[in-house]
Amino acid sequence: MKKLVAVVLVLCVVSGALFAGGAQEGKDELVVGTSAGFRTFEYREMGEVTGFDIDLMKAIGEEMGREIVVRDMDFDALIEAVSTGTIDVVAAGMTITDERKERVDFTEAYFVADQAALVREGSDLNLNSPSDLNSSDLTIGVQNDTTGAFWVDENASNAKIQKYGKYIETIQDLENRNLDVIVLDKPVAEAFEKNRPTEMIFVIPTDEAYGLAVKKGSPMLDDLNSALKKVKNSDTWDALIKEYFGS
Amino acid sequence: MEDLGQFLLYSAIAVGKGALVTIVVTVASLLLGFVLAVPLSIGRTYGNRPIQFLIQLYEGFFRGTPHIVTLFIFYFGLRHVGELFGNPAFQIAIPPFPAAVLALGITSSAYQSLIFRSSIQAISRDQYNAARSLGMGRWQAILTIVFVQALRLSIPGLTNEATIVLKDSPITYLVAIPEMLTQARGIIDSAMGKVFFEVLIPVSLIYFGLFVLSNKLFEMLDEKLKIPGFELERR
Amino acid sequence: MGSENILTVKDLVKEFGDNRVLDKISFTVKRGEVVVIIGPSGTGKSTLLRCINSLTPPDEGRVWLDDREITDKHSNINQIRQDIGFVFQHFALFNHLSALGNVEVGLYKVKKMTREAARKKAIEELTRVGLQDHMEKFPAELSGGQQQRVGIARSLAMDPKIMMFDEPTSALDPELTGEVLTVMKDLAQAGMTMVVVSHEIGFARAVADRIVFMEEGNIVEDGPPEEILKNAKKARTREFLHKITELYGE
Repeated sequence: MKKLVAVVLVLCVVSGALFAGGAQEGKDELVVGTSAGFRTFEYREMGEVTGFDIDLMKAIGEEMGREIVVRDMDFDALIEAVSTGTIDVVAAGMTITDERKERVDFTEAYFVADQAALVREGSDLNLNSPSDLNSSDLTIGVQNDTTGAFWVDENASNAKIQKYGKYIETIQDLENRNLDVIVLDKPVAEAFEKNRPTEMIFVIPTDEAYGLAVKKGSPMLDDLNSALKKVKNSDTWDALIKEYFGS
Repeated sequence: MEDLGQFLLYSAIAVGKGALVTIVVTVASLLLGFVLAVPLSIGRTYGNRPIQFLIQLYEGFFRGTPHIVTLFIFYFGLRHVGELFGNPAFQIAIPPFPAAVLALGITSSAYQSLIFRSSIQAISRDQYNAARSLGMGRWQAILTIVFVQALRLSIPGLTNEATIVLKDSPITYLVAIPEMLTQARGIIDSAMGKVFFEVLIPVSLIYFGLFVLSNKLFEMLDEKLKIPGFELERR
Repeated sequence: MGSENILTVKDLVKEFGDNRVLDKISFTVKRGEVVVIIGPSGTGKSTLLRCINSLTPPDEGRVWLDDREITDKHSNINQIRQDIGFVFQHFALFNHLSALGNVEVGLYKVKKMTREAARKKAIEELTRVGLQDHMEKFPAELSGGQQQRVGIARSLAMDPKIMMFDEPTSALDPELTGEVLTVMKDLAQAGMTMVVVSHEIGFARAVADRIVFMEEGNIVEDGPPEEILKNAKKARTREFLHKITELYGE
């Protein structure tokens, strides 16, 4: 009996230690929120979250003299999380939009992209331009709370629209024939096109810019912007672009 | 896939890390639940009216509230607690791991308390009376004679509770805990969805393996603490 | 309180709901006396014992052990209980401890003896009741008679001033009662003060200094065995004895 008590106590102490380790949200740490599953920008490899956004934030963190801590959550939870201070900054390929600007502040843009339409390879839908998407015969899949979702809500409201937490879920349903087409950021569409039996049929020019998001009125904004500027002008930036986007 | 071997290795590492996190979260939550449930069950059985009432409220709330909701309260909700008092700047900010363990652990304590209470009640009152008649104080009798036996009776219930917490652990992905299911989704993602069941089935098997392991451990504990010839108080 | 009275009970009242189980019971027990209490079931005999050491606190009345008042709120009840041995009808052995464990636990946890000293004394007491070969066994591995003897040893180990027995053989198979009654007889002959609630008239005849007949919460008659058993004053006593000797033979 006494041995049992001892074992329980030891386990408690060990857990307590792990607990405490996590309990310090170090003042020097920069908590970065992201949503793994956005190919090349953030994804999981060997169990860790990595990608363009992560490496970018590491470089920015270095400039700011702070270590980053990455928290992986659902995309649509990120804005709420940064607004309450659960995370310090969002780095998740998040497009700068006016609606979002009402809830968060963005840094200068660090990447420009368009949306694209993705279908199953060999599907015969005769869709040639964005306006063709506005058809009640179509079921369109999007990731919730993304600019792709907003675009579809506005421009393809006749179609049946299904919203998902992560992109991979849309791909699954596309292949299951539960969806006809997916609207998503072009870089991700290109990645999927290379690896799955899918086809990017056209680009929806939206000229979106990705920015890093912080709480409205956050004093960190200026520091982030200057760090971002420094990184963009450095060799690190070129190396990143080369590593993740080829050319 | 260019290199199947590499993919398998990377995936195994990812799932391995996830499994470790799952185990730590589960064990820590069960322990927290245990440590809280002991005083709760004793207080509810032997305490005065006000104490019993408070504990009843606690148990009712955490048993009656969906575990995801509890999790949200600890991680997101408490950051808004200042707004209740008109001071929005005041937050109780709990990082993911403590928030997850607190939520799962406190919830588990409400269930474990019930398990201990029913075991305590299964112990004949004369055990307590015999202890008191030897001159033991109230609490000495309760703790060293009654509760000790109640714990042994509780092992089946605790075995079940361990399984429940293990199966609850994936909800912690919502608060950014990289447990096994998160890792599985990450792998599916990295493979651009080329694999799905190939990942989920091994992961399910690992969850099952953890379940079997947990049961085995409790079985061994039960065996070790067995009282020769004794099942349940017959009278 | 005369110094030869080790136990004094005065006007004890206990009610369970509407049922007045003890109706102003008063009696005394002298040092070294063996008192056997008999009476129909449910007349409060067990309750009386439990009220004496306050396992069931009485509603009214006072109880003294020597000159210490058990019913006084300011008394240290735990300390007084060490001097009152209590043997239960259903043995109430601690299931998670061996026979030896049962006997030693009070010694090291209450009397604060060292584990070695406690063990030594426990072995002595178990030997005294004839269980030296069964010390490592757990209650569930022992017969009823053996369990009850462990119960007696457990109480005796605390060196009490008085031993109370609540129907000690009622839960035993007839062939097992003998071993327990023998232990009790030896105890009585060694001079222990005993209050025994029992149906065992043979035991009472052999060993009791007084027999007390209780009915419906009252003491009906109280006297030496020769008087009560052969020549009871009250009709009810004689009726009861008649019924009981029919049932139990003797």
